[in-house]
Amino acid sequence: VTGTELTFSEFMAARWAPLYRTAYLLTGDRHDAEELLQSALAKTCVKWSSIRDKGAADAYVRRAMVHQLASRWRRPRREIATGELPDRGHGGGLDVRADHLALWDEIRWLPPRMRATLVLRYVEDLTEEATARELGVSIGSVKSQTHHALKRLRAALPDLELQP
Amino acid sequence: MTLTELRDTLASVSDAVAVPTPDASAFEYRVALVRRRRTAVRVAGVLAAVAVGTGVVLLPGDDTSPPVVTPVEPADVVPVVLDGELALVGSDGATPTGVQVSGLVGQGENGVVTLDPQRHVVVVQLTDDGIGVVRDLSGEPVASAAVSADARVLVWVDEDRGFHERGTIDGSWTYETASGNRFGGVLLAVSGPDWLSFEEGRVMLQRPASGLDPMLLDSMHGVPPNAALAGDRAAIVAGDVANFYDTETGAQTTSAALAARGALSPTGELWASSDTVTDTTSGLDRVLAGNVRGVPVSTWWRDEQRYEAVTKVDGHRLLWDCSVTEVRCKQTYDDPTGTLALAG
Repeated sequence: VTGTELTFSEFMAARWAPLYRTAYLLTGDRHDAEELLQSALAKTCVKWSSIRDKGAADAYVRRAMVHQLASRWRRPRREIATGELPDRGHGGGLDVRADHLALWDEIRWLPPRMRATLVLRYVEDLTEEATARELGVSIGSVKSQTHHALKRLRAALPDLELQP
Repeated sequence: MTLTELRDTLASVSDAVAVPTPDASAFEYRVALVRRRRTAVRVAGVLAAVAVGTGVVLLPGDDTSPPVVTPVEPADVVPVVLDGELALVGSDGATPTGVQVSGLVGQGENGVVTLDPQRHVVVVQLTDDGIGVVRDLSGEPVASAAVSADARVLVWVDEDRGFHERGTIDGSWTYETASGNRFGGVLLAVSGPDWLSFEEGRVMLQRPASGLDPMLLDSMHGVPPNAALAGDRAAIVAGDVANFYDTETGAQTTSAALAARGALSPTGELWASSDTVTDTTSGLDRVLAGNVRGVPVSTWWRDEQRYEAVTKVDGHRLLWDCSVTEVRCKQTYDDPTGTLALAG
């Protein structure tokens, strides 16, 4: 989506779906994803006139989502919305291959920061440096979060053999 | 499990998730909420609240007190609070001064205005090899204090609502330019002879020295917002948004989102938060190079084109030296104690 004349309504109509998919991967929950995206888009809407490069507004929304998640995981432990996913074992009821479903089910149960690190690195294809910037952590922390996330997934699914 | 398999899984999940239709009414509600928060309450960060009262009476100042320090060109250091102590960060790291402080109010040409642990206003002279004279200016605890962005005016409100304004000719704020009593509302910021106050839910620009009536800039309920005043701009922070106002007309010029921990440049033309500099007239953002990382904590302008920013990362606090003209930030200090704080 590019163009200096792009209105916010046009942007939202065009980018709602892909941004929702990112929000879903970040939160692991459909309701939380919609809440997170709506909140980030509302902030973007208010700021729209001053966003110079409308073509980069995707990144702006994504950053707002990550910042919001970051503020959530910096709260006291009891307030972090982990362990509350209602349908473990069903991968969120998605119609995907069984091996993908099994892996996604484990990804959803990773701590939010680990899950966000994987999404930024392996879905958004950000470098370790850019991921650190987005998350507000050090590069070392990104490396550590990635390492521990993969270790957990491999430990949880030692026999997982993904189909070709 | 390989990284390719992980990527494939995330991609297939992303493709498979059913995307809901945007809920227009819920979205409109959220936008309204964000707009309201721009004028909503937030805990004042730097300046403490003072008792609500009525009116300020400006009296002729006592300009007879001689300066007690001789101006000295200070070394190129950044004064910070580090573990409850004033420290000077330079090219060779942080040097503790031994002066206990509870916070920094601002810095002038050669002096740092601090609040000591008893909340007295104490000025610490900077010299070319460290610190010089340390002087207790208030002689009593204060409710709030502020230094103008151009570092030429220092004001504080004492616990009996007395108002004290000090001017400077040498960076040491040793003569009183105005004083009064029964200061009304909460002092938010000062610039030259003008200041911002928060009174009965209204952010007012007070301009008694100019003979102009107070000007209403914003209204909100609850506790006072963070605010700044410089040049012909006022900045009022609510939530994570900084709103900017033209102090000539009172009209809002623009705003900056996700920029709450920022500061107004000495001319009022720019607002900086972390690596992002916003033009307070056009609202255009510029992101400086240097890969600034971490959550923004505070910002302080050294001059019209250079500022310091503190971010926090994994319990550490990082100090960044940012140049608008060079469009670049550089990390200058890593504080493992996580206590580093700037003025303002």
